Amino acid sequence: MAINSNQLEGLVVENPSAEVRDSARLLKGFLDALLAEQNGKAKKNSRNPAHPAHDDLDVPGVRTGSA
Amino acid sequence: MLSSTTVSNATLPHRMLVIQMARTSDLMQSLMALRAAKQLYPGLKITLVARERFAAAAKKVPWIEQVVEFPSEELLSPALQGRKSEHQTLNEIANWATPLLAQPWDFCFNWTYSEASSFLAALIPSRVKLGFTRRADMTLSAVDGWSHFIQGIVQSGLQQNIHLTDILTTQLLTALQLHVGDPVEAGDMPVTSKGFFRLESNLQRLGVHPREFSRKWIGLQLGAGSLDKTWDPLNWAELATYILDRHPDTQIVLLGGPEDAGRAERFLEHIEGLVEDSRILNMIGKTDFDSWAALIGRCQWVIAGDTAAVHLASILGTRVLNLSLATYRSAETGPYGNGHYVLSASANCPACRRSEGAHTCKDAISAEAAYAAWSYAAHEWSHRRATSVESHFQGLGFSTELAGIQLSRSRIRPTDQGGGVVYEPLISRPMEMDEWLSQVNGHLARYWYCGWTPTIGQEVERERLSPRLIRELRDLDEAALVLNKVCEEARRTALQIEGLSGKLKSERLMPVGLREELQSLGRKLQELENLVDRLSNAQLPLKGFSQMAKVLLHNLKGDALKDLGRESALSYGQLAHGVQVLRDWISHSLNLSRPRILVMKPAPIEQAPLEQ
Repeated sequence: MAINSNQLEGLVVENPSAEVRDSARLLKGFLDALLAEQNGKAKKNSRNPAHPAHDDLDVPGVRTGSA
Repeated sequence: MLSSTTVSNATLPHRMLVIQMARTSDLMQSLMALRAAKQLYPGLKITLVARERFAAAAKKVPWIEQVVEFPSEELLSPALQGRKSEHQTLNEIANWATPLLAQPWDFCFNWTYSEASSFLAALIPSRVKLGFTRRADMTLSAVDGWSHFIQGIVQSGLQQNIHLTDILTTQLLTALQLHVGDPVEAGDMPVTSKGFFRLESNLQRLGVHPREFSRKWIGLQLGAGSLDKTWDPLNWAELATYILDRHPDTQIVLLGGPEDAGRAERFLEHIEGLVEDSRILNMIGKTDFDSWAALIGRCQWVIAGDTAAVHLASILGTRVLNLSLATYRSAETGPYGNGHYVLSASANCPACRRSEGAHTCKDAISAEAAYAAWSYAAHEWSHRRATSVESHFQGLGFSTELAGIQLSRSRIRPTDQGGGVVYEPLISRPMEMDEWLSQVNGHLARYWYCGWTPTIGQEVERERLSPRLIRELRDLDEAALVLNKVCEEARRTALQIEGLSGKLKSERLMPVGLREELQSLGRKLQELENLVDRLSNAQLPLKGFSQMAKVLLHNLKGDALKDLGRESALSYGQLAHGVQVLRDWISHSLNLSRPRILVMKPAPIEQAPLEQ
């Protein structure tokens, strides 16, 4: 196969408990990105469906996610 | 990879966190993938993170250990309205996340594929991560091949024909096989079933009269994910009239939320007096998840646009006629399973290509076309598909509707053909570049990430190759040849960088000559990368390669120049192989289109037995 085999394994961390994470910055990034999503919704979509059949298009998913 | 001493086999408990903060449709497709994994790896202990308003479906699945709901409105609205400070909101989110961080997970799958979820995934301590996360410098990282494909191809809006459920399932099962080992023998246990959810619903409480159970229920989900993809209520009413008039054993069940009340009103106004009231069961705005699922599970058919009802019906084994309107891509997110039908316009309209403006393609799907498609599908058992769609439409007097539509039927491929769902067109039409390319891109993903190479062009039919497509493929072949050479040259250049940097004692201090040589190779690599971009701008079918190049080069592992050189070489090698696969497809299609020369075998000459 032509690809780098690491691509199938994903990210592997031997000792995740010991991994250093900048939790404060990650939480801030999480919040900012969530607020940006919500802000986008407020601008684009006045509809507020309550029924589970209707997807909220402004909640990013595979087809709408931004990176 | 986890060592075999860490995890031994499929029946041992492995803690898996799945982040699915997207919509109900994505959640349903994730549940199907997780069900397949749970059958093959019964030891999995699955925790799922979902948004509170979309979590209902997951909470009804008995084999999910825990559903962690993210209360978006409660946490975010006060911050947006200025009623809470950022500091307070951060504290609340930290409190919400703390239980997820308490103990390392064996696996974390981020299936949301969004910017926000990547930060959450980065916070989670886990031995193995797949999906989007963040690096130490906070930049986005797609850590596995399927995530590269999703970022590079699916989220770039490029055509490909692997269903999202199949992508998630393959990504998940491949990772489990690599890190846990072989699965248990699960036999042919189906993933979908009427008992998928543990529901608490009594339909009679909703006012369903017992006599209505004796009829065949046809569910119509009136709304859809967006206005573009929503069918006019008058079309729905005409479709319902055709069904009820011509099939006296049927009952229409109207499905939808409170926001569909206006549509339902127009529907009912239009149909009033034309059919018996008792044959319309109006459930609009009356259902929670349990009753919605119970109704759909009770239906023989669900007819719906781009809505989660399609996926719920698929899970419950209810057959679907999916009205594919506007930019909806049924190959990626259509109904999953055997024997579902997708009705779409035969060609994209200008708005589909530009992603703006009114979609004239919607006009192609009339009530007559939808009725004829449904009646063809619903009577499969009698005509066994020996009758063509064209003659079925003709028999109904709806031949004129055929011009603007395509009708496809879903089928799960056998494992030896690659598995997964495929939608087979039932109306013979010339193949356009988009459809051809979606097959090639799907093939590429399987070639890169499945360790299995399907036959080139196994689903391309000679009769469908149009002269226009053939001309476009000839032009494409020239550009693809150049792209292949560029990728090969980039691979060699990256290998040179790896070779030279491997000799360095320090990346900061080095002989001037060596520094200049490395800088020159770096510039050359940059120029080649630009060339990949220019080629794909000139020949849009090559766009997937430039997108994948960006994703792969952004996700190189390692910090040292030597590692980056090696990883770049691997990436360009992957792209070069991919371009070769594209060229094989072009060559196969051009060969297929050539006039066939029939070589007649000479008739055997009968020889009289030799006389003794």
